[in-house]
Amino acid sequence: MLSIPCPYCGPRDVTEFSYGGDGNVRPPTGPDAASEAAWSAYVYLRANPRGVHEELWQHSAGCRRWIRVTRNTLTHEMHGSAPARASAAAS
Amino acid sequence: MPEAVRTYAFDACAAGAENSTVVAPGVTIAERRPRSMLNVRGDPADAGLASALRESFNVTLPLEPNTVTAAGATRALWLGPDEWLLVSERHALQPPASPGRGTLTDLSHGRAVLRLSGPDVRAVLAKGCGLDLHPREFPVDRCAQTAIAKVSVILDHVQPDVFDLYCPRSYARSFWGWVTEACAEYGCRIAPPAS
Ligand SMILES: [Zn+2]
Repeated sequence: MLSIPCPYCGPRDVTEFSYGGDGNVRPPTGPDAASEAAWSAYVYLRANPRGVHEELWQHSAGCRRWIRVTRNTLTHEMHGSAPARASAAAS
Repeated sequence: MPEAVRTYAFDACAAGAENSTVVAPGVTIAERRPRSMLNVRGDPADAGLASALRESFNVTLPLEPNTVTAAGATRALWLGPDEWLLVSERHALQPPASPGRGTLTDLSHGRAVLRLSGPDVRAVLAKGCGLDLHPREFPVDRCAQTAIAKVSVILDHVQPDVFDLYCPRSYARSFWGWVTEACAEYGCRIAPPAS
């Protein structure tokens, strides 16, 4: 079973978390100016990397916070995590 | 107006099951009936909230994740970086009129509480819970929101080998079934409710 490091609660079983998808997908800026193709890409298209991936998880059975986890999709190695809010504000 | 009658979710489960005669039980189960539970949401840096909680309940919120501060018969459990649960054994906690920029919600009826104690309590919990509950990792006055037997439970380590389990009251019957079955092999005493 995967063990996900919650920046608040420490390592917890993956069953306590809900997956929130790719952590770096952002909606196109300028809702009127952006093309249909850009919106379509934002809603539907995802990379499927073999290796390090930054993703969002919610610690739904624990502290209920959204967090940003860096995980290797090939080895399941965890490279750390941070509160989603703090890391979003920093980027 | 007559006072509302408070009902307890584990009442129906424990009725007739009390067996104080079990000798040297590995685990003792008792329903706990705290008088009130308040959910606190707010900024831990909000001085208004901190002073309101101090004046009303003599409580200081724990800032370290998954820890508990105790003030007399009132315990403050860390649930999240901006969320806590105040539990009072005997007092009806009245939310202060102006809790700074925080919010206090009375959730006294939301959860049913079981107290598990005894030398085998951690072996029982390990059957349904992935946390390391060794006292080195999970000492007294540590708490956690987690899943036990897939029920979302708040776990509070009250005293050595004494754990309070807060489960949503609508899960009480199913949770009771799991707990009693998990305890059976260790010798299980079902004690009357501790108020
Ligand atoms: Zn957490």
